This record gives sequence, structure tokens and C-alpha cells, in this order.
Amino acid sequence: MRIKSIILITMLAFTSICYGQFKISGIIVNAENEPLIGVSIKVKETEKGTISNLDGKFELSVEKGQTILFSYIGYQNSDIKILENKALKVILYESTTSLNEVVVVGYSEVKHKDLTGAVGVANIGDMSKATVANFDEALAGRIAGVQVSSNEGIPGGEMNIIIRGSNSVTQSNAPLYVVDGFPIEDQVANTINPSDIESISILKDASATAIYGARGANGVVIITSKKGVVGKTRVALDASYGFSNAIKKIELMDAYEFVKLQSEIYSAADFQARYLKDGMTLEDYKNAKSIDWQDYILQVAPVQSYSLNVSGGNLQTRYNGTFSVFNQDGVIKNSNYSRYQGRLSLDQKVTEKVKLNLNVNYARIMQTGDSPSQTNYSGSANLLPNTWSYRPLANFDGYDIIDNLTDDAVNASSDYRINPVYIVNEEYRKQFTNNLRANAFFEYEIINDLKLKVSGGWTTNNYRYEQFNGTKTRTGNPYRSEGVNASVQNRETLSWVNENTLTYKNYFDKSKEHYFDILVGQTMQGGGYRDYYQRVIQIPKEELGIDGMGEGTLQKINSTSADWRLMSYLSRVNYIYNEKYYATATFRADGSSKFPSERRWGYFPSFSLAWNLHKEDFLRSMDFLSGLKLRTSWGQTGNNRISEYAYYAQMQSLLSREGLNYSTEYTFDNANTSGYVITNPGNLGLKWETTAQWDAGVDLGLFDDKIKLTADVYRKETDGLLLNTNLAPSFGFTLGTMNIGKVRNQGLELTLDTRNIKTRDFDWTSSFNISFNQNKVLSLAENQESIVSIISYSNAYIAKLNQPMGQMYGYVYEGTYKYDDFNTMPDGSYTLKDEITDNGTDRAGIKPGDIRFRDMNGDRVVNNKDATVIGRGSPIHVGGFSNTFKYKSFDLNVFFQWSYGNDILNANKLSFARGKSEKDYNRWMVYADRWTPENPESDIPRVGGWGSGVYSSYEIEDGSFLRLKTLSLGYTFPRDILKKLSLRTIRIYTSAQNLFTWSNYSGYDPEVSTKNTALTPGFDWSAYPRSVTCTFGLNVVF
Amino acid sequence: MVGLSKISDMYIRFKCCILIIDLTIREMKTLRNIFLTTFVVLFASCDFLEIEPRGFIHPENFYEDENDAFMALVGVYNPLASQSFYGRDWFFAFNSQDDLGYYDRNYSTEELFLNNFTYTNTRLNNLWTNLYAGINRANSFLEYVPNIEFSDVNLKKAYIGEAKFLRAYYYFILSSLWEDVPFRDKSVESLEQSSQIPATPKEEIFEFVVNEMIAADSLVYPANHFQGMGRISQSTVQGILARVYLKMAGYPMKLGRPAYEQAAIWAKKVRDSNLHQLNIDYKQIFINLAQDKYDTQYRESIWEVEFKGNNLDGHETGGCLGSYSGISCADGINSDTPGFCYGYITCTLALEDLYVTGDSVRKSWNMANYYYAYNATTGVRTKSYWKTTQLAYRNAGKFRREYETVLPKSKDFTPINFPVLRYADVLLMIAEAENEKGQMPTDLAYDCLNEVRKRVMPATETITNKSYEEFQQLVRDERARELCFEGTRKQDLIRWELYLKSVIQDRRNMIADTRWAVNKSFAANIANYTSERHVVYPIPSSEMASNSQIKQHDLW
Repeated sequence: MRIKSIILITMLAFTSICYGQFKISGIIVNAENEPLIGVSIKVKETEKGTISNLDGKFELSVEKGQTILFSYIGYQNSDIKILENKALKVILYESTTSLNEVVVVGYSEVKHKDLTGAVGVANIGDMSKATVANFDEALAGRIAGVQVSSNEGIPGGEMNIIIRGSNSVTQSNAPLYVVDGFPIEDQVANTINPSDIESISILKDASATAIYGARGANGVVIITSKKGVVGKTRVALDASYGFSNAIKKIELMDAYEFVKLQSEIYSAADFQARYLKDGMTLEDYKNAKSIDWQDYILQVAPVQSYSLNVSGGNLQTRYNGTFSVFNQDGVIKNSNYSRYQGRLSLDQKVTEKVKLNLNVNYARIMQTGDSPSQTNYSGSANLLPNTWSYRPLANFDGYDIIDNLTDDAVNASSDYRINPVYIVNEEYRKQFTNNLRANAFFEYEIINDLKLKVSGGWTTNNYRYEQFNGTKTRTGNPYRSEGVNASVQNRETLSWVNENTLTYKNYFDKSKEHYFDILVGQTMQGGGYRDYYQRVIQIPKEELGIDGMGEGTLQKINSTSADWRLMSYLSRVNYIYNEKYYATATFRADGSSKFPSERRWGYFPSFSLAWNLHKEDFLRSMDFLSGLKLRTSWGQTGNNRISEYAYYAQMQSLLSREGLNYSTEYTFDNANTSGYVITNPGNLGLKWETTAQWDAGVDLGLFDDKIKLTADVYRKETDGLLLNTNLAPSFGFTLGTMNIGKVRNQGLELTLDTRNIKTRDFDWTSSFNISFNQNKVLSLAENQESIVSIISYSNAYIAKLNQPMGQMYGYVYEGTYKYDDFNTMPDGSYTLKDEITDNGTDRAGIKPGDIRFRDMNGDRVVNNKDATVIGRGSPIHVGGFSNTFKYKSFDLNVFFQWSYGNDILNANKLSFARGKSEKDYNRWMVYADRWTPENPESDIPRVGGWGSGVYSSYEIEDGSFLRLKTLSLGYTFPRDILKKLSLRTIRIYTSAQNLFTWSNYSGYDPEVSTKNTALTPGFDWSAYPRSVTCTFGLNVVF
Repeated sequence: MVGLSKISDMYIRFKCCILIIDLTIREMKTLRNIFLTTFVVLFASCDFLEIEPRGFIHPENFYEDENDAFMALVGVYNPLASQSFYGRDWFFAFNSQDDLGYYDRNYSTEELFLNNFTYTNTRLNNLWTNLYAGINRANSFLEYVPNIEFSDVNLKKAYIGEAKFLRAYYYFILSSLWEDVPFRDKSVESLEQSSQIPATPKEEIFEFVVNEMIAADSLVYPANHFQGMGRISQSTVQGILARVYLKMAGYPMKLGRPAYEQAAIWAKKVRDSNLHQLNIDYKQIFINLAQDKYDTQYRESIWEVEFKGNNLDGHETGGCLGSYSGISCADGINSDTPGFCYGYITCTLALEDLYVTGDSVRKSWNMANYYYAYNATTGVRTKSYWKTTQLAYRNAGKFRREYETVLPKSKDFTPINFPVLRYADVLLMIAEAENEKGQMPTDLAYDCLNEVRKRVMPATETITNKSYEEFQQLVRDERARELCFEGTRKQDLIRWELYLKSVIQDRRNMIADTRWAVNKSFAANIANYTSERHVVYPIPSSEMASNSQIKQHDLW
């Protein structure tokens, strides 16, 4: 090797003597006349080259007639033919086309034009216009095929990112995140400062994801954080401040309607005694003071965000460091999300052949308040039902309900509702997360174009959840046995990774028409968690708060832990002929400790082809065409999202309830004896869920890329669905993890980017995307015809063979029974006519005004045989439409997002627009129009005529919506002012999130799913209201 | 420690990699070198994916000695004390809708109390699930334990007998409530086994129950082997066998005479053991239950489901007897004197009329003529007596919290044991079976009935010379007077085919009775909701949704 190089250098020296060479110097600047550092400069003929230095200057040996090529990421290429030895000034213009942009894909980067798979690239510029806590909130509607939604509006709440439809039924459909090369299966968004993100690539088809093998089936989100750029130190400050407010309130019944309702529930004597004392009449309550309890728990909440970034470096060392603070109060009082985050990225060139990188990110996150939908209180004691149902009659009978813990009319020992103000003010709920993620790599160029990369990473996540319930809370009040109580949960999660890859690239032939590159690698990853929980009751000193826990009676200690490991081999080959024909093949083998040893290894291949028609001679004449590429791919990926020890049969002894399992103790002779019971069935047949995906796409550019269209169709079939499935209780278990069947997702995605107007002063660009996805269950285990999902003991959703997963399932609502449906008895009572169908309750009890359901099988009895599909959980299409306008120094971004065709199961309606005849329980205003003898045509059931707790189409609502998601207006100060202030940039802006939502949905917001799994989408029960947020902000760069 | 092993693991891995790089840099030979070295490192770590799981034990590794067998046996008993069974729902929901008591709340919601429910009912689902979990534990126990070495062979036999009995008892409850149900006598430990099985006819279930209980009878210890009444003894097995045969004799199987004969035989075995007598003080039976005392003098209580503590001590072994079914003390503020009680179950006029003059011991105990009134100013609760005309308000008073000794008293959870089988019940079963088998009361039948009556009414006249029908009615009424609120009445009415009449027509007549000083409409609700299907429960929704082989009961 060494000998060869010496010969080569000698030959070069010889040639330079033969031809008249000279050194040419020059400077490279951008359109603003600022020097560009690190521009690649190459002599076309000799391939010799250099890069520009810190002042943008360079020197290069050339000879007359040769051409120098200049290339720089984000800028248009330029070439200059050297005719004389004269200093050059080269101006590079920013690239308007993204074809030469580099896209980060699995384990490498490729140019956009060389992509063979379906990869979505987020427009970070547009996304940064939205002031959000976490980057994923701004991702919704931005990329075709990527559905981003949140379960409810809680600040800092997790977003669900679903790529090309749900494969997995009960297991997570979240993509694999790869953050600076570190694969992470958990949610990562809350640890990342959105302004630190350099790029987000979303790998959608199998050719892109198969390199991640067993974890790639849900798609892969690759996040790269910003790195230092060579040049003078750059200090950037971002600050914003704003307010949020609930998008809407729900209209509740007022004092008069409430009392009127009570008159239908109380016996006449009791009603007289309570509400008609001292000559009061019902009409008098029209003047009574009403309370809307929502006003007492909701607030206008401030949100603020600050970020300071320092970056710079020279050709050897580059650095980028950030410190950021984000703080957002929720629209429900005493809920808050705040984050302190710091990050440092360091790149060091050790020698020409050795590069090092170090990246450390630390985040401390604090969340105050509970999600009202995810708590486990009995029905009406959950925050929002409690708030809606609480008595709206303020001062009554000398009892001021606003200042008291309970409603004097209800029996506090059996009714768990308390004054909602106390819930938000007195219940202490705080979650602390400390997350440290450190990764480093070392890259060594062994010989030309053969690189070895060794990387390692480590992440720990410490989570602590503290709860304290004093005497004015739902569980600690004097009506409960537990007394003042508290609990703390600690969970430490850690994960490490080591990845070793070799890459080699070259041409097969001298004429450089046959390019290829090869990647081979081996990775190991492992992780685990330790969870520790304890709870005490009867704490004597309430004022000590959580610190007084030691004085209470220990009620429960729970300690669990688990480990997992993954070992993998991976490879990829790319072949390109003349930039016309592309072929890629990847292969990965994964071994996971989560599966029994005989089924531990999975193998995941993929192939893809692309044809760049635009380079073909026969299309040369079509000038309007600026790009045309056809792509197709096929591949297999897997899903391993199950618990660490799911395949083991487990015997445990429990002192108290854990999940589905109750205490296993029993008493003999008045002494506790501990019992061992089998708590989990084993499954030695457990294996990967495998998804095979086929994709075909076209990338079209017209009129110099003024119009760019990308279209993809795909079909993916997931076999061996991992399901944490409900089992028939007669089996001895109610839940188990098994592979249960096959699901197909197919769809179409369109993305249209246009540059509509570009003049000196005015610039308008648009980006539109729409995705259609169809989902179908192809087979289920044990020849089952369907899987029914039960929520609150009522069937709620069904996945039926040859139909989509997650369809709403229940009775068909048919209004109410009218007087005509009954025979009048001699005593004046009504009995249902024999030919009229019952409603699932006993015929004798059915009265006029009771809810009526459709009898599907004609047996005049409504029961489980009459349950049918009553709604679709998944949308027909979703998408986004973004417009950016620039006029002189102003910029305006208008971004719409929509979802069309999905239904919502509004479970709140079961209690608040139907409901049992519970005393002193307020309802939504819609219930004021219920059936009464005076309003006999109403189809809203009478008090107590709710039938039963089975969901019906009465609770189904259209969940389609169109939302003005982001509206942002900015002003950038002109250059001459900046010069005087010696600043690089100042921009001030105002931005609004969720400004308008067009929807027919009666709940707080149609983007809701409080029991979110692929089987149970769009369920709304006590969801945190979504907010509209307006902020003002400032960007300054020094 | 978790972290340390990983750190060292990672460190070694890094070392290896650096070694490879080092080698390659220095040697600079060929690519082959790198691949070779890498592969050596990788194959050396083939056991990398083998992880020792933590936090549980695999069933195959669990059963090693007799202590393990005992802990597994505790797991088989455990479903008895569940909230879905004797811990709460058995007396509060499944058996509160009989002719003697009613659910004393204005309730129109979907629920079991009023026979206004559907197959999605929570309690229905929970009891079903709980019973099958117990059956699976017993199946597993009976497969592993025979292979364990015991120091005492009789102990091993007894454990096996207890597990066999409990499994049979769970099937007895299942088939009594649901008739045809899925049947498994092999353990389920893996999801590779099929969860889809059809129901087995009730006749076959009962045949299994009887055979298993008979087998258990020769395995378990006699009653006097134990201090307490929680463990399954021979008397328990024999007494429950009599109950099983009585069920088989009546609705729905209606096997009649041969089943009555068997019932008489097994009940008499308890009597002939001479281990049991009636406690001379009726009240003391229930006071003992509340005070965790075991009466080894009379041993009237044969089988109790045991509860302990208040669920505030870190154990969840309390029940709801006394707080759900008991004397109302529902002022909301939790306190130790006498202890919170919802007083959900209130006595009907039918029970009032069953007690003849002279039967005041049982009447005043079972029908509480007072409740606890709370004085908010003094914070004191005092007994507040109902007037003799206020016949509608008296709570079921059998289980009384004022006798509890465990402090503090929890609002919902009490240490009161549930009396599943008493000697008085055995005597009345003998009386019933003896009368039914030959359609004529025998001397033994008279003896047994009189023994029960004379305990509370020593001066009452001895019953003799009754016709078959008269004696049948006497026994039925005596069962109500003696055993009310002990979770057997509804099943008795169903097997006698009297259930629908007693909660529909009889209840309506009761409401029309002028002696009910006020209109207790809560008592009437059940009459409006009950129909012919309420002699059996519908297969619960969780089973219907997940077992494609199961069919709903024809009445549902």
C-alpha cells in the first residue's frame, strides 16, 4: 500500500512538471457577501481538491483550461473554467431545489436525488414557526403517511405517531426513534429541545426501514441534532411568551334546568322538602345564581420558552451547545409542564483519517397535575365528570357549595365526587424526569473510501411520580378510610448500544458509470428498568406533605425490574448506474431476549429499484420536466414491542392488587398466609410480528422544480400480530400475549410542493399533503371471526375479519319509546306492546321515554346478538396544507391540518346526555331537551331511561375536523440596522396554535383518544381540553 | 447492580472494538483480518441473549417441597375471599334479590340487586373470572403436588383432597348460577393451549362435582383436626355434598328421589360424626365470626371463609360483611364506634311474617329494629329504634360491626368471617331430604327440625304428625328463619321453583300490604324487572366476546 502511494505521488509530481501549473487563489461568498467556510473545491479533470478556510479563502494548483467545481451543502453547485491566473471571487447561491440535499437514512446519508425508498423529510423551517413544547406536536399534518395526534390536550402530553396505518393491534404502534444514531423505542420527544433539531427523516417503506429489522415495522424517525459549523462563534437567542386557553367549554345545564331535572328524580315529597321550601317554585330558580364549574378549574395559562445556542469551530474542532427552558401551564389549573435542557455536541478531526464525535443531552422535566382521563377513580369522581356533574346551584339552603368540600345533598360516603376546585388545588401530583443521553462515535478511514465507524451510547431515565392526598382530596377526605395518604413511584430505565459498521464505496469501472457502496455492521443493545413503588396511608401530619410519608402506615411496596438485550447483524448494498438506474438491497438479522430461544432470531431482507427517467435521452426534449423518478421496493420488518418476560409462565405471590391480579393471601385461623398463584400464561410459540411491505412511488418535478409532486402507493401485510389479547376467562387467564393473526394496510400518499410566486419582494410557497390508508383484518387466531374490545364492561370496539380494526361496536340507537308503543293498564301504568322490541333491559321496566335500540335479528329482544358496527375509528384521509409568504422583511406561515371520515365514541354522553337517574348530578345542556311527558317527541332518553351501560350509536359522533393549526407572522430586521447593532439576525414574531377548528364534534376537541390502541381509537372520556395558544417571540443571532 | 453488569459488559465490548481497530491500524493487512477478529468476538458472546428473568418463578421450578405445596394450596383457597365472591358480591349482589331482603336504595341502574342487568355486568364478569382462576390453580396443583415428597403421607392426601374439593365447589357454584359452563380439569399454563371450548352440560358438571367431592371425603382430615373452620374438613365435604345433591334433586335437573336419598346419606354422615352440635346461643355464632373466635366446643360453624384485618395494614384480606350487609351507620364520617355500615340490605315483610311469636331470639337478631343515628354536634352515634309500625326499615342485622375487635375500623372492610356451612343447615338438609325421599317425614326428619327449633324456642311444642306438604313447608320456612342472609335462600327458592313467584307476585302483594307504613318503592323495583330468565345468569360478556365456542343460555 505504502509503495503504491509513493509511486502515485511521484507520478503526480512528474505530470505537474510537464504541464504549466500555477496556484490560483480566491474567496467564496454567499449572496449576502459573507464568506463561506468549508466549501468543497475540486479540479474536475484531476479530482484534486481542497476546502475553503475560515475566511472563505482557498488556494489550489490548476492549469489553464481546467475547470474548478464548487459545491456546498444547501447551495447551488458552480463551476469555473480557469483561463488565466487571477484571484477568483466566487458567489454561491442558496439552493432552491432539495435534490442535492442530504437525507439521513439508516446508518448513512444519501442525496435526495439518489433515494430509492420512501422517506419523508420534515421541513424544519416551517415546523419551527409553531411554539410547542415538543417537536412532535409540530409534526402533525406535515408529512404524508405520518399521522400525528395526541390523546388529549394536556401540556407536554405524548403524541402518537403512526406511520402508514397501525400494524400492531394492542402493542405500541410508535415508530423507532433514532436520535443521533441511538435507537430508542420509548418516547423521546420530551427530552429534545425542538430548536436543537437539524433534521427529521421519516423512513416509511421497507427498503428504508428494513435496516432496522425487528424494530422497523412501525417506521423509523431519525432525528439529527445540530452540529457546530465552521466559522466565527455564533450565539443565538430564542425567546417567546404567550398564553393558552381552552378551545371551548361544554355548555352545562344551569341552576333552573338542574332543579327541573331533580324534580324528575326526587320523589314528589322529597323534592318538595328540599327545593320547594318556603313557597319556592320551580320557576323561581330561573333567577337563581348558576355556577359553571368549568370556570373554576380552567384558566388562561402562560407559556414561555427560552433557548440559548452557541456554536462555531474551526476545521479541526466544531462545537454546538444549547441551554433551554420551557414552561407551560395547562388550561386546567395547577397543571404544568416544564423542561430544563442542555446539550453539547463536539466534532473533532483527529487526523485526516480519524474523526471523533461526542454528543450529550440532559433534560429535566417536571409535570404537575394528572391526566383527567387516565386516572382510576370510579366513574363520576374523575375530574371532568366530577366538574360537569357538580351542583350548579350556588348558594342554596344556607350552604355555600363553592367553599365546601362536598355537596350537602349527596351522600359523601357512597358518592366520591368532591368540590372540583379542591381537586385541582389540593391534590398534589408531580412527575420528575431526569434524562441523560450520551453518545459518541469514532470514524476511521482505513483506506480510501473504506470507513470503520464504532459508536456507543448510553441513556438513563430517572422518573419519579409523587402523589399526596390531604384531607381535602378525593381519597384523603374524612369520608374515606385511608386518611391522608401518599405514594411515590421511582423508575429507572437505562439502555446502552454499541454499533460497529464498515462502509466502502467505489466504482466498478474506470469510466465511473457503475457506482456501488456496501455497508456491513454488527450492533448490540441492551437495557432494563427497575421500578419501585410505595404507598402509605393515615399520615398524621398533613402539613408536612410528601415529606411526612415516613409517619404513615405502610400500605404497599412494589418492586419490579426487567432486562432485555438485542444483537444484530446488518448489511446494505447500493448500486447506481450512471445516475439512471438504482438498486438497493438490505439484510438484517436480529436476536432478542424477549423471545423463546427457538424463535429468537428474525431475518429481515429488502430490495428496491429506482429509475431516474429524467436522465434518459428520450425525455431530454421535454424542457418543462425537471425531474422524474420511479421507485419500487419490497421488504420485511418486525415488531418486538412486548414486555421483557412475556413468554414465561409466571408464579407470583402478591400482598395487594397489581394490575389484573389481586392479593394472593388467604387467612387461616386468623393468620395471614401467603399464597403462590400462576399470574401469567407462558407462550413458547411467541415470535416477531413480521410486516412485509411493497411500495411504488414517483417523484416528479416540473418547471425547474416550481412544482414537485411525490406520490407513493403501498401495501403492507403484518403477520403474527402480537396481541396482548383478552382471553376467555374460562381459560383461567383474562389476558395474554400471543401472535393472533394478520392485518393489511394499504394506501396512497401525495405530497405537492409548489413555488407559486417568486419576485424580488414577494415569495409564496405551498406544501400540500394528503394520505389515504385502508386497514383490514385478514385473519385471526383460532379461527376467530372477531375480537371485541370491552371498555367499562360494555363492548365498545370490534375487529372483524375482512374489516378494519378498531370499529365502534354497539347497538343502533333509534330514539325513544313513545306512548304509542305501550298498552295503558287500568292503573294508568304502561306496558310495552308485545310486538315492540325491548332495549336490553327487562320489558316490564321499560317506560315511555326510554332509549330504544334497533333489533337486528328480529327476535324482539335487544342483546349481544344485536350489537353491530356503529362507527369507524380511523379516518378516510388526513393531511396538511402549509403556505409560506414572504414580503420584504415579513414572513407569514399559514398551516392547516385535517382529518376526515373518522368517528368518535363520545363516552361522556353516556353519563351526561343519557345517564342513570342519579340525584344531584348535573348534565350537559343538550340533556335539557330530554323526553318528558311535556316533551314527548324528544329522542333524548328520559331520566333513568338510559337502557343500560352498553354503548350505542347515540354516543357516536363525526370526528372530522379542519384546523388552522399554526399561524405565524414574523418580521426580520433589515441588514443595515443589524450592521449598526453588530448583530447577524433579529426576527420578531407572533404565532398561534389551534386558532380555529371547524368540526361538528360536541366534546372539547375532535382530536381525542383516551383509550388509545389500534383496537380502540377515538374514545373520549374525561379528556383534557385542548387549548389555543398565542405567543410572541424574538430570535436574535449575535 | 443492574447497571454495573451492563457497564462492564459494554466496557469489554468497547475494549474489543478498540483492540480490533488498533490491530488493523498497525497491521494494515487485509479486510479479512477485521472480519475474522470481529466474528471471533461476536461468536464468543452467543449467550448474550440468555437472560435470567426476575420477579417470578416458573411453575415447573416452583413445586419442590410441602411448603411450596401449601403456598399453592393457599392460592387455591384465595378466590373464596375475593370481592367478587364471599368478600362482597356473593351476599351483596348475587343473593340479595331473594324474598327475605331487598336492596334498600333507589336504584334503577343496570345492576344485579334488582334483576335489572345484562351480561356485561361487572360483578357477573368478575365472579366468573375468579372461579375459573381458582379452577386453573387447583388443576395445576393437582398435577404437580402428587410428585412431591412429603414427610407425612396423610398431609399430602389432605392437601390433595382440599384442592379437589375446592375445584369441585367452584364448579358447583358455576353450574348452579350458569348451568352449562366450560369445563377443564387440566391446567392451563401456556397460550399454546386453546382457549376456545364449548360449554359442558350441567349434568356432566354435577357428576364431576359429586365424584370429586366423594373422593375428597376420604382424603381430608376430620373437623376436629383443626382449630379454626377455614380449612376443608370431612364435615365440610359431607355437608356440601348434601347441598349439591339437594340442588340436583330440584330445578333445573330435577333428579328427585335418588338425589334426595344421597343428600340424606351425606348430611347424616356429618350428624353421625358427633363432632358438631348447635351452639346454645344463636347470637354467639355471629359474634364469634366478627371477633375472629373459633368455637371448638360446639363446632356449629363447619366451614367459614375467613377474613382478617381492615385492609389498612398492608394486607387485603378484609371482607364486606357488616359494612354492606349490616345495621346502617352511614353518616359518612368513618369511625370505630360502632363502625361504618351502608345498610344496603333491608328485611321484607315476608321475613317479618315468618317469625312466629316466641321466635324472638332469631327475629331480633336477624331483623335489626334500630339503626345508628349521628349527632353532628356531639359526634356521637346512638341506637335509634324503629317504631313497631315501621316494619319497612329494618336492616338485615345478622352481621354486626359493633362486635368487631380489630381497630381502626375501616369504612368498607371488616374481619367478619362468612359462614358457608353451619350444623343447623345440615340438620335442616337432613329434615328436607328425609321428607322428600319418601314423600313423608321420617322420625329423623322430625328430630332434626325440632332440634333447630328448640335451640331458639326451648318451650315451643315439638312438631309431629305432619303431612308431606306440611312438613315440606315447615322445613322451607325454618330454613328462612334460621339461615336468612347467609347466601343460600335464593338458590333454595330456585331449586324449589318458587323464585319467580316470590319476587314478583309475592313482592307486589307485600307492597300493597297496609302494614308497610310507608311506601317502600325500593322493595317493589325487583318485581318490575324480574322475568322468567332470572332463574339463571347469562354467560358474561368477557366469555362471550373471547370464546367463539360458547353459546348464550336460551333464556338470555
